[in-house]
Amino acid sequence: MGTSPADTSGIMLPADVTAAADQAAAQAAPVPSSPAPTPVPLPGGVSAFPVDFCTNLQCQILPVGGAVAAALPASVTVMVAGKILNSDGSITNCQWPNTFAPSAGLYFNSDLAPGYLLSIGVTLQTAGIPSGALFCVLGLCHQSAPPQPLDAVLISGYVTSSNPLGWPSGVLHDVGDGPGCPVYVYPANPGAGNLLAYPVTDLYFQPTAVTFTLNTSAVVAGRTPWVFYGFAGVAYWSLGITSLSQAASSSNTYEFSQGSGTMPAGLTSFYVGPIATGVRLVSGMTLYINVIGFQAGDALINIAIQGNAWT
Amino acid sequence: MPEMSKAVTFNEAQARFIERLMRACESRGKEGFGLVRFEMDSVQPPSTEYLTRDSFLQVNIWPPSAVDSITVAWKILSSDGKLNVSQATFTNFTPNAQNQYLQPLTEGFLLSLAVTNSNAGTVHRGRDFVQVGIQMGPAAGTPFYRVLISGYPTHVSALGWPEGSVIDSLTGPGWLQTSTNAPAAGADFSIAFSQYTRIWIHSLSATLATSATVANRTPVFELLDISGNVVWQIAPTVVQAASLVYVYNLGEALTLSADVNNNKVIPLPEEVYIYGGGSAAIKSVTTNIQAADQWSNVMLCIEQWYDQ
Repeated sequence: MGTSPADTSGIMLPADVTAAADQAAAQAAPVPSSPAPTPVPLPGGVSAFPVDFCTNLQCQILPVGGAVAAALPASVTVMVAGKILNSDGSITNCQWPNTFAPSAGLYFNSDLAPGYLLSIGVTLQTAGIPSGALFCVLGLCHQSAPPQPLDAVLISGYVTSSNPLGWPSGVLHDVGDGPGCPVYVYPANPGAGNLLAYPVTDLYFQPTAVTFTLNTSAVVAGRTPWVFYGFAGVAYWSLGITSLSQAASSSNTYEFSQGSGTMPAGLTSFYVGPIATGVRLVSGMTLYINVIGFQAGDALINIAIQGNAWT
Repeated sequence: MPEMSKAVTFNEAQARFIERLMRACESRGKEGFGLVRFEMDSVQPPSTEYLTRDSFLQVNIWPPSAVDSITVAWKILSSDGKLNVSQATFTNFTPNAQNQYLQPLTEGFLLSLAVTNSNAGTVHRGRDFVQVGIQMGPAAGTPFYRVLISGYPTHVSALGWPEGSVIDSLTGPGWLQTSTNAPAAGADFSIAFSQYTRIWIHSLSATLATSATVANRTPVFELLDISGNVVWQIAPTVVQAASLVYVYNLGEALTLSADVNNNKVIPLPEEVYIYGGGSAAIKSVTTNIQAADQWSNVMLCIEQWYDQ
């Protein structure tokens, strides 16, 4: 344990814990017995995570990055609840209720009483939040605000009212796990002569369908709509393109989707086209609806973008 | 923890088992167990959950039908060394909603818990979503202090703690089901989706019989979101004239076409999810539909998950 005076105590504090109260408490703690006594108890017993004088509970819920399919409530309430085995052998039930706007997310940090953390549950008490919208990371750290690096990750995953998260027994998930959250976006009509750029605000966004109507002016020219993604107007990949050339003074509705072939739709002014399957765009990218041969009097209207998003 | 383990005693059968183990240990000697020996006295119970007097089992069930049936059973090793086995069967549900039940528990170590689907007959995955955990105190609305297990039990696969996992309602295959709709003559069909569900539309088949009234009908198929916005629409390549019967078949990744028997093939977007509730639906909007035109044999196949 080294030669510093503090090392004679039962608690070795991290170097960045400098609070006098924490140091004094550490000095006063008795030196524990060997962690590997012989004989060793049989496996089992109460699962417990030791909590010392500088252990804090930290919970972060990432805000919803973009639009989601559900009509999100203005605020949601999350209840973090846990059990702590105190040094006197008693069990304390703890609750940390918080209400927050889904668009703002949540951060809180709470100093824990010394003892053993037995279990933690995170329950969203507001219905109507689809899975994939709110990602929760809960763990232990040794300092208070602002958000700290975690010493232990206990909970990580998307939380909804029907899918609470817990430790132990839970599984740590990455933010990109799962099916994501259904997203429908209806951008405002960009106006005559303007194309559409939809910036991705979620961490990941997988477009599955893009639909719009193109009204062409009387200027004689062939127009061919296409959908691509990239940065700053530069196409990195074409998501989909039609094989049609739309003439002047006409109105066609285009339906790009995963799995569709390229073909004319005959007499009904619906034209289908494919977009690449399974492409996940990341925040900072932009999805563009472009039209080859686009004229100043042409207009894109009734735009709808569907996809799956990961906060 | 030492205080709690001292309080545990064993019944006669357990004591005899431990005694046999101890004799086996003595006969093998220390060397036979490698670097460590294991205590045979004051053994800690193989459980990570100690239940106090204010511990309650919280069971949440999302069923699609009132007559579904879910059974939860659990074992507790009480402080006097006795093994308590309990069981509760839940039914008479409110369909497509969270049904919550509380069970008072005996103080002691929770050793195991199992959730089985006790419906009669075959139950496919995705039908009944169940989660079980521990709450402190009997008040309704109390959150989980520990989540023990969650998932979709079927007639062949049960949920179990401690070996099982907490599986959320969106993971794995959903509940494959079919819906039908029979609109009146001259009306379009519309099939809505339950609130707080995520829907993956796999296929739709519908027949339109047109009357003798001369007009060209164009059926447009629309997907609506919870606010009634059209998120997708598609139409066949040809119109349907009077006195004809066409079958329209919509499916993922199909090619827009028709066969010689007037079966129309129409693509649906691949892997597009609809969030149920509100105005969310799949419907037909038939232009020039006549009073005696009739939609029939409307059959929808979807995959569904609970999501709220």
